[in-house]
Amino acid sequence: MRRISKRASQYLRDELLNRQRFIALEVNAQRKIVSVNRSTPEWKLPGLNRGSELPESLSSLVEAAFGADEPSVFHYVEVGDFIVDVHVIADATPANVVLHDVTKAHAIEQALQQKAHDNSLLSDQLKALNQELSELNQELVLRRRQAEKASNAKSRFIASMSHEFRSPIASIMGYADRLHTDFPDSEHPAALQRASWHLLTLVENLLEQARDGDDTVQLNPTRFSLGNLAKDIRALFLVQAGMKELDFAVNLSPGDMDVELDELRLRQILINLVSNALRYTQKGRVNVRLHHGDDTLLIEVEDTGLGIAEEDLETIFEPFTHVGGGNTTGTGLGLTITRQLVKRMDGKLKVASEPGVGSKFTVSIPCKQVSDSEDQLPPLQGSVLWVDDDQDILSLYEVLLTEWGLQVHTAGSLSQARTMMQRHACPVVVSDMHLTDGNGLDLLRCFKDEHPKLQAIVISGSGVSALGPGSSVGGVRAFLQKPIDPDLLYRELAAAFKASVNAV
Amino acid sequence: MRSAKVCMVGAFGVGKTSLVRRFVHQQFDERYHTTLGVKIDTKIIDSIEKPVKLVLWDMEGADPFETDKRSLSRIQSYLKGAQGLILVADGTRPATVETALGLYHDFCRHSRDVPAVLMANKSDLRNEWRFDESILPDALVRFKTSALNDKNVEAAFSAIGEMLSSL
Repeated sequence: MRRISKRASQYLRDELLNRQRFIALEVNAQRKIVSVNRSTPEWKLPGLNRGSELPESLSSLVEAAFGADEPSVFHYVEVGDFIVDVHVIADATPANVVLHDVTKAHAIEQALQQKAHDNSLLSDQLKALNQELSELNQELVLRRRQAEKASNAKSRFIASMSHEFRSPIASIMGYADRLHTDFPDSEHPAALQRASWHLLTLVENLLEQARDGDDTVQLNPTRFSLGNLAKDIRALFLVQAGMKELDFAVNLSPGDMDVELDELRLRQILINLVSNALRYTQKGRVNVRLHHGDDTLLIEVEDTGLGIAEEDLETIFEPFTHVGGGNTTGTGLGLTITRQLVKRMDGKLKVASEPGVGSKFTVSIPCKQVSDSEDQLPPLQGSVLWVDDDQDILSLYEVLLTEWGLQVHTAGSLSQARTMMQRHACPVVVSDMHLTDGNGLDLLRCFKDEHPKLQAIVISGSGVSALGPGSSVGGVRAFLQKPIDPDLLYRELAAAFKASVNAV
Repeated sequence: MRSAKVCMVGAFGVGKTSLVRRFVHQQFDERYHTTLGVKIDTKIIDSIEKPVKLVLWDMEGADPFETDKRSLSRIQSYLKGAQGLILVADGTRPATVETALGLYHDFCRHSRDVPAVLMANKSDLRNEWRFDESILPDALVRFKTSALNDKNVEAAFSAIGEMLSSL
């Protein structure tokens, strides 16, 4: 590098000294200030006087640089209210210390640095928050999986409980039906039937609540007589109404007819509404009116009971709620379940009430009348294999199906079913879904592979269709729920035999 | 009385200035004010057998990625002749522990070994605390400190004082 001229050098030195502020000190070995020279006389720093000891902060700087061959520079050192660059030339004694005022430059750089650091810290916070969010998301996924697992376990439990309850009740109802055939003049079998229906609806109420809105529960529409239903409801509650000396009537208009609906759910609705009306009515009447028209079934249950205050009209549908301070027996689930069932059947439920006067519950459910002309059923002929691990059920349906003209083979387990099938090669198989040693659906799938023309019917007491809406299982043509409606069973068997003949 | 130069080193925003301010002046400021350069304070540790005067160099914080070469050069000039180091990290920002350790190892490579302690600061932020001690050398004395709550601050400075006075 070429050296600049002496004149230029002098010019630059003067300019620098005029524009910048410096203090030059001479410091001896004892760190005492020997001399002080200022470029600007008015710029003073505390403690920098000739003869005084160098302040601690500067002294430690000089200490760090002492004995070095090259000048040491310490930038941006805070001294009092100023920021200075400290140059220490300490290769000989006295040492020279030059303080250069850089307060303004420091302020500008400090402001920029502050912004950069603030941004960086915010960015770190953002990263930490993102990390936290990611961890929370992972936890959420884990919790959701756990919840799904628990929900599945609950569904399995409910299905299992439903099966456990329905199977014996179906057996009682079936045998009561047989008794009715054997003793047509006796009222006892009908009473058994009614009590079974009642028991079934109570069980279903509890299970419905446990399902908690689970929409995998499938409706099971069957054909049944509204006249018989009306008679059953009347007979079921006549004694209870009589004990309170209430007028109790069940009217059907325009007359008896067959309809297609989930009979069990409809009975649940009626039993819940009527038992509620009777519970809260101490005198007067309870009237039940069933009316079919315009493809709608209208149910009205009207009483002269306690009535419900306007503010309680919504509360009564909450589970385990009793309002009005009257008789508080009952599960407190009836109206909750009723509303759920009506909704599931695409119906509407309304309530009108006046305290001290009475209440009127109105339910309307879409439902078609089934005409007799559709009911031309052919006689049954052929052999059928019935698989169920409940011996009473097997005996019941063996008798019934034999009466219908079928050759019936029964099996109480999967292995027995395979043996019977090998022996008889039945064209139609009816199997319970939940068997002690396995799954009826798997059995039917297996049979279907070996006998492609096979027609299979699945029976279940779980109340949940394993087939599910929109799904299909090869070879399984029908899914029936316990208790099985005999008419429906007949129709399904007839259709199955017809299909087995037509199958290629 | 012996006097010793002790440098506060670590990443920016870990609380070096707050710790010195708390220890020397018994004050705390909630606002973050970044340090550019160095501020030198002194405090005598007289609670130990041989009292020592700590000359505390509160230095600007290091950039963890060392992109600011001028800052790095300034830090290196401040560290010359240091007789003790206080490594400061933010217990809620794991990367700052690595920065402090990096500065420490760098110093040890170029100078003689000196007494050192590590302050994991901001222990008041319990919900955000992510201090992993496992990456620290076994021999390194460490304190969980809070300049805000004045937790372990005096203990940490006294520890470095004791180490220096026994040399």
